[in-house]
Amino acid sequence: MLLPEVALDVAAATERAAVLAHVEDCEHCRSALADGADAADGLLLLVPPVPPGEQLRASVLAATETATAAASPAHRLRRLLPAAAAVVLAVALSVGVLAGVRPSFRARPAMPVQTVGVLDGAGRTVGTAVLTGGRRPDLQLSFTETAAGDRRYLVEVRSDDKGQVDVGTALAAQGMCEFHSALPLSTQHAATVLLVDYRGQTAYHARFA
Amino acid sequence: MAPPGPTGARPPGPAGASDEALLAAVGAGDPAAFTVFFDRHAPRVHGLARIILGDPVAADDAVQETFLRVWRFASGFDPRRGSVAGWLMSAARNVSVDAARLRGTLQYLDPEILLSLAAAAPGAGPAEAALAASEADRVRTALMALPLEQRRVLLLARWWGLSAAEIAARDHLPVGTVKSRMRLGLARVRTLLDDADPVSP
Repeated sequence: MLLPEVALDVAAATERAAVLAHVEDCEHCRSALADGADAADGLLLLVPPVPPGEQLRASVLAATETATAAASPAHRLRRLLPAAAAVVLAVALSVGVLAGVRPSFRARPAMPVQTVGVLDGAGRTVGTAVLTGGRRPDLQLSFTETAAGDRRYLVEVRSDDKGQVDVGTALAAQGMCEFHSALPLSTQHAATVLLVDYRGQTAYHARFA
Repeated sequence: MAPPGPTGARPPGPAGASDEALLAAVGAGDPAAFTVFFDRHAPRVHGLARIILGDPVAADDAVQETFLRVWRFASGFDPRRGSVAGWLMSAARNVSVDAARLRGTLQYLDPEILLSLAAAAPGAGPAEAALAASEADRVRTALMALPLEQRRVLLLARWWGLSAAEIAARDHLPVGTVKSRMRLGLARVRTLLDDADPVSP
């Protein structure tokens, strides 16, 4: 079939369109294509690096002063549309312009994904938590805090079936915290993620259904 | 690419931030995050532009165009669709190949020689470099386990965007043979990466 060429991003436009149309209805092929594309993308990591010259670096960094980023169409639209629709539109725009970079087969709706807010002690949303189910459950946290200094939080997950499980330590540096880990438990049960500080107090939490 | 294991032990400051966190900050218009992102990834983007375009000036233009797209579209990136590095390097390859085809200068070099030159991309901090190195190492190990002819076809396609028909024409092979090597090579890499995945259940 044409799957390897689409995964390697060398298929002709009509063939690629035919494959993408097929995988919309075929979970087996979609999964194979997504895995193939991931492996193919990994090959690009092996390119020999060549440090850019100072002039190139200065050019690129200066270009951002004139080019809009946060005011880009995708971002503007996201504030006007309901959340779910805005995310779909923003992704569609970025896929369209970066042609062939992130084809739609990469999304795996068959694998349950939940995105919920990370809340502080006062119930304010300070970030997002994404729980991806499937064969290898996976937790990603991303939040900001205004307190100064660097902090560590113990990340605990409490679920109905497994009780409490420690999944690692999250480091908040200069107000930004990002944590990503595999989850050693089934995501079929409701789970709560707790971020516990050095005093044993829960600083932040996120609840999944 | 498989998600990394627990990543709590990062060095403090933006230099130790993950690609996803950096890109999210870039998407919010943070120039400091963009600078860190550029310094971390530009060598590989530049290296790819050079091997595709040859001409240093054209390669510089391609690097600039690629990062301009990052600056404009970072806010639309969805981490569920794959890794930041994969997204970025795909864009870099397409920008460079499009430019080379427009100029009529697309030609490939021997991937075996280039592979021996490649090292893991220098990360800004030890944790990030270790993470990037282990990911690249897994792919390299898988790739080097393939027969030369399969490895060659995969790299000619993924790095230079050569179709099966183009590879067949240049290497004087039947198209079916090239397609077969692509299929077998890619399947083998997938299997080996799966086996090497540290997060296997």
